[in-house]
Order: sequence, then structure tokens, then C-alpha cells
Amino acid sequence: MKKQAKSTSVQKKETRPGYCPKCGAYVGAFYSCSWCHSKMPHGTRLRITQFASIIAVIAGLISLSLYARIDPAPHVNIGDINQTYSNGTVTIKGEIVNIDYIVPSDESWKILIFTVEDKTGSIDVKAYTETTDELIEERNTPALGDDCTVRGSVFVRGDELYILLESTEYLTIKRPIDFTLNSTDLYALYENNTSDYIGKRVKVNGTVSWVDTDNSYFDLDNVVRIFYPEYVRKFSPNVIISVIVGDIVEVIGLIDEYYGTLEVLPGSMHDVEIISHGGVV
Amino acid sequence: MIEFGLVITCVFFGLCGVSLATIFSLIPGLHIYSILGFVVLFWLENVFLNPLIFAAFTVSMLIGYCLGSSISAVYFQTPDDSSVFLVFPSQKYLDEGRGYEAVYLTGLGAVVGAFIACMLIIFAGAFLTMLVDLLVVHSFWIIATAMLFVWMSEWPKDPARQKTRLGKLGAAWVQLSMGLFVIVAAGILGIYLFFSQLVPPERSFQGLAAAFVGLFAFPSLIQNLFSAKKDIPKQNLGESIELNRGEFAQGTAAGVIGGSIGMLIPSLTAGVGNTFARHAVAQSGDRSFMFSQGVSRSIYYIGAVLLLFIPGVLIRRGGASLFITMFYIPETQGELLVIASTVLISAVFGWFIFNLLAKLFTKTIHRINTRYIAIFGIIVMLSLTYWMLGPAGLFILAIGTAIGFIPLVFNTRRIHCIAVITIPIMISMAGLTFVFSQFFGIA
Repeated sequence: MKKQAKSTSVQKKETRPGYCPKCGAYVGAFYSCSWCHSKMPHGTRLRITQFASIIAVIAGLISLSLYARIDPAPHVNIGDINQTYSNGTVTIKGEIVNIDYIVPSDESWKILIFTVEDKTGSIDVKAYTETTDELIEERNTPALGDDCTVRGSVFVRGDELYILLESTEYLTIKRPIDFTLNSTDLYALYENNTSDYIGKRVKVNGTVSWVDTDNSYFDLDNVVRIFYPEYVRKFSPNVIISVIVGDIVEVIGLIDEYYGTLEVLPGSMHDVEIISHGGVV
Repeated sequence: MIEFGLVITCVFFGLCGVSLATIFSLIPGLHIYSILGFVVLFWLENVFLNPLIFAAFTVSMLIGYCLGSSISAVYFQTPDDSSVFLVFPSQKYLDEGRGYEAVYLTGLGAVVGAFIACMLIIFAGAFLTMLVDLLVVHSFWIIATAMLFVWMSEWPKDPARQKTRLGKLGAAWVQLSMGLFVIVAAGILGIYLFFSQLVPPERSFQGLAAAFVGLFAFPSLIQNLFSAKKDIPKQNLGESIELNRGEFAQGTAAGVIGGSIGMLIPSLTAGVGNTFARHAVAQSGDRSFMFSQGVSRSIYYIGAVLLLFIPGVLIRRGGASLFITMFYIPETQGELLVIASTVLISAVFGWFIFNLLAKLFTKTIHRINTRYIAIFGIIVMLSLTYWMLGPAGLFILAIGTAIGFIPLVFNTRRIHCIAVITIPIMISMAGLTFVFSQFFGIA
């Protein structure tokens, strides 16, 4: 009886999948038994499954690659972005309405935050040290009034919602010029219709009539003040205003008003071009 | 000052969370982050309660998941990224009719882990903050080394079956190469997931869910569906788990090390942490191993959320932390204590539910055809993925499943699939996002 029971047990073990039909050892998902080297009945099926799996992975990744290329970062309205967009990769388009550039005194880290606004809402875009350094190096720093396209990842931290700019390649800035004038014509236009021109970008030329000792602004023909916003000076800490009284310059900047004074705010130090040196010290 | 009423409400939601999650986690293949995704959507649209209540509910659901999924991982062999190592020894126990022991040991480990996680964060929060600061700058090479170690430390299983030397070498390298193939394939999937928008933008917070289900859970469900094995042997409802002091200490140490690695280092999960931990404590024996898996999973999931509650710093680790920060950023020690209390109360309450369910399944599992359970799991996962992420989600799930199937048919480690997050995070940390995006045509 005992012998018969043992034989039945072995028989049962032999028929179980994954066990060697000859010696009864557990083989699992291998082609042959490690004890008696006999081939397993599931060997062919296993090989087919293995081959099919590899093909499926390769085909899957190729099709994924094609699918991802269609629209890797879809354009979204800023107003639509909410918490559920967290970690999403999106593209936004809009106008830059605010810029903060934070650098500690030892310059160990940098954060550039600029606010982009479209018709549906506004959102902050952040760039950390390396990206900011590259933006400055490539002279691709944002300025107030710029039209920009930003691609980045959406981050949510409580009430704070922002887009992280991971590469300079993902920021496209357009600085369209609305009109070109000399300083006196610009002043005349401004005096007639102040509010219509605030926020427009102008290419203005004129003769330098005054240079501030702190190097934060200079005047053109005593009617237009060229003022370097703080972020522009921080972006180029080593670049000083090299104009002197009498120089003829051309400046691209945003029209603004400061306590009744007409100002033009350049987007970067490089937006000021000296046409000719003709001044006296 | 947190009002007493709010504390009671948190505990109440905690009890609801642990109960629901323990039951939901029985569905094979269902990851708690998939469920939490729906909770987030529901909460955003319908509930205007204090966000601390959401945090309490979330962390309790994690405890329920650690408990409930140990039943499904043992009885239905459907691991997630943190329990991949659990399946093999527990399968052996299941074949021997000792599934209850495996479930009980893992569940016990989960409760012990929840307790340790709370104590660690409350009493060693300042130290952990310093440790995180120290580790974060080295994350790149730590993750790279971890992935290399996971791949290198895999032992070839097939050579003994070959007769010639060349055959043995070839057989060894087929398995190791397939491990590398899985790392590369999962890495490419991760690059597309992280650096491009594959799912609808408004569901981005669940962008990885489909990939995880595909990589870790779905292959097992399909295997269960098509494997010839229909019946699970009758299980013995043992009266003792015979976990001696030495095994308890070794399991706890391994679990704390493994879970802490997963908790502290971005993108490394408890599964990877456990690979280190086992070597670190020279772990041996199945009981200590299964117990340690429970401990490490709890520390990994719950500890990561509690890190977020350390006052004065913002340490965001793991998916659940991401969900909580969608609502608010914790600030005070009081909030940490409320959440830790909720964790402890929920863990005790969850333990009783877990025990009832474990006994129920132990008594009835041999009567259940696992194929039906696999079919049920597949239908649930497909439905939830489609509901949350649409056709793109199913597409990602299918590719993830194909990659996750390779370890099953080539006998290589499933934890290689974790490259789906480690590789893109390493690329991002190295500042090479644009270079890789350009290479893969998604710049």
C-alpha cells in the first residue's frame, strides 16, 4: 500500500507543470532539468513566449516613440492648469508681466522667476542656477513685455503652482518692436496720449544728456529716461553703462512712466547700442 | 493650535481609510496610488474639508495597502515595486500550505514598520533632515550605483543545466543580458513618460500609474490566467509563526535599512533598498525575510509621507506626498503628531481587519480558481486605467506589461523594472533632460 501511495505521489509530481517528468525535480521556467538534464515539455512554448516578449517590447517602444513625437508637450491655456496637471509636461504662450531674480550675496545659487500671462490667467515659471546661468550666457534672459513660449514641467506645492524650466532650449522669447522714433518724437507722442503708449516696446534713438552716477539710468535729450530695471542689472553684474554725455545711442525697451517722467526700460544691457561717440566728459 | 474636533475627524477618516484600503488591496494588481488618484479627483471636486483630513485619510490608506496587499501578493502573486522580492519565498510557503504564515509575517512586519516609521520621524526628524540634505547632492551616483548593484548582484540561475562550458557561459549571460534589456527598456519607457506628455495633461498627476501596473502587476495576472496551475493547495491556519528573537531582530534591521533607503533617496523604492539591506545584515531564512519585507514596505510608504510633516523643511518623497502637497504643505509639529497618532491607531485597527481577512482567505483560497481572480483583477485594472488615463493609459499599460513579462520568462529580477523612474530621474539630476529629449525625438 505504502509503495503504491508513493508511486501515486511521484506520478502526481511528474504531471505537475514545472517539475521534471523524469526525475520529479522542480525545474520551473527553464528548458531542461538541472539534475538529469532532460528537456522539459514546456521548452518550446517557453522559447516562443520569450521570443514574442522581446518582439513585443521592441515593437511597443517603437510605437511609443512615434506616439510621443506627435505632441511631446501640448499647448495649454494657463488658466486651465490646476493641481491635476502636477508633473505634466506642457507648453504655454503669453506675455511676461513680472520678473524676480534672486541671488544671495555669495552667488551660491540663483532662482529666476518670471510670470507669464495669457488671456486665461497667469503662472510663474522658475529656472534654477544652471539654467539661469545658461540663459544669461546665451543672452536669452526674459524681460517685461516679452512674448514667450515656455515648455516645462508643472509643479504643485500647496497653493503654489509653477512651471519648471529645465533647459534654455525650452524658452523662446520674442521682443517685438511696436515702433521706432527719436527721443523728442517719442516724448511728444507720450505727452499727447500717455496711457496708449505705456507697455509698448519702442526703438528710440537720441543723444545722451545725463548719466546717473549709480549707473542705473541715463537721459536722452533731457526728455526720455533710459532706466535699467533691477533684474537687468543683476543679469549682467559685470557690465556697466558705458555711455557718456554726448553719445548717440539706440535703445530698445518698454515704455513706462515714473512719477510723470517718461522712461524706457531696456530688456537687457545688450539692448543699448552706441551709434557714435561724440560726447564730452 | 489644532482643534480637538479636527483630531477626532482625522482619526475617524483614518479608520475609514485603513478599512477601505485593506479591502481594495485584495484586488490583485491594484496599487494604492491608483486608488488615491481617484480619491484626489473626488476630493478636489466634492470635498471642502481641512486638508489635514485628506492627509490622515491618505496615510491610513497606505497602511491598509501594506496590510491588504500582503494577502493578495502571497495568495495571488501580484507584487508591486516594493514587494517583488516577497513573491518567491511566499510562493514556496503557499505550495506547502503555509500561506497564512507568510501573510501573517508580512502583515506583522507592516504594523511594526508603521510604528518604527512614526518613532523615527518624531524622535529622529532633525537627524533625518540632515541626512536628506547630505544625501540629496549625492543622489545621482547613489541611484546609479544602486541600479548597477541590483543588476550585478543577480546570480545566474541557468548555467548548471548546460553541459558545455560555453553553454554555461551563454546561459548565464542570456539571463543577465535580459536583466540589462529590462533596465534599458524600462528606462526608455520612463524617459518618454517623464520628458513628454503621453497622457492627457489634466491627468498628469497619475502619469506613472499605468506603467507601474503594467510593469509589476499585470504580467503576474496574465501568468496566473494562462498558467496550467488552477488550484492552490489547502492552507493550514497555523497557531504559531515561530519567529524567534534573532529572526525578529534581523528582519527588523533589514526592514528598517531597506525601507529607509526607499524613503530617503528619490526614486529608489523599498524593493531596491531591500536588495542592499539583505546584504547589509547577511539575512538568511524565509521567516525573517518575509517579516522584513513587511517592515520595509511600511517604512517606505508611511515614512515617506511622514517626512513631509517634519516642521520647517519640505521633503517630498513618494507618490502619496505628492498627492498631499496638491492640497497643502504641512507646517507644524502638531500636524505631525496628529498624523502619527492616526497612523498608529489605524495600524492597530487595520491589523484586526487584516487578521479577519487573512483567516477568511486562508480557509477559502483552495476553493477559489485563481484564474477567475486574475480575470477580475485584469478587468478592474483595465477599467480604472481607461477611466483615469484614457486610451493612452492602456497603451502605456500594454508596453509596461510587455517589459514586465521579460523577467518572468527569462528568470531575471523584476526589480529591474524600477528603471522606469530611476533612469529619467538620474538624467534630470545630471541636467541632461534636453539632450536625451533631443535624442529620443521629443525635444
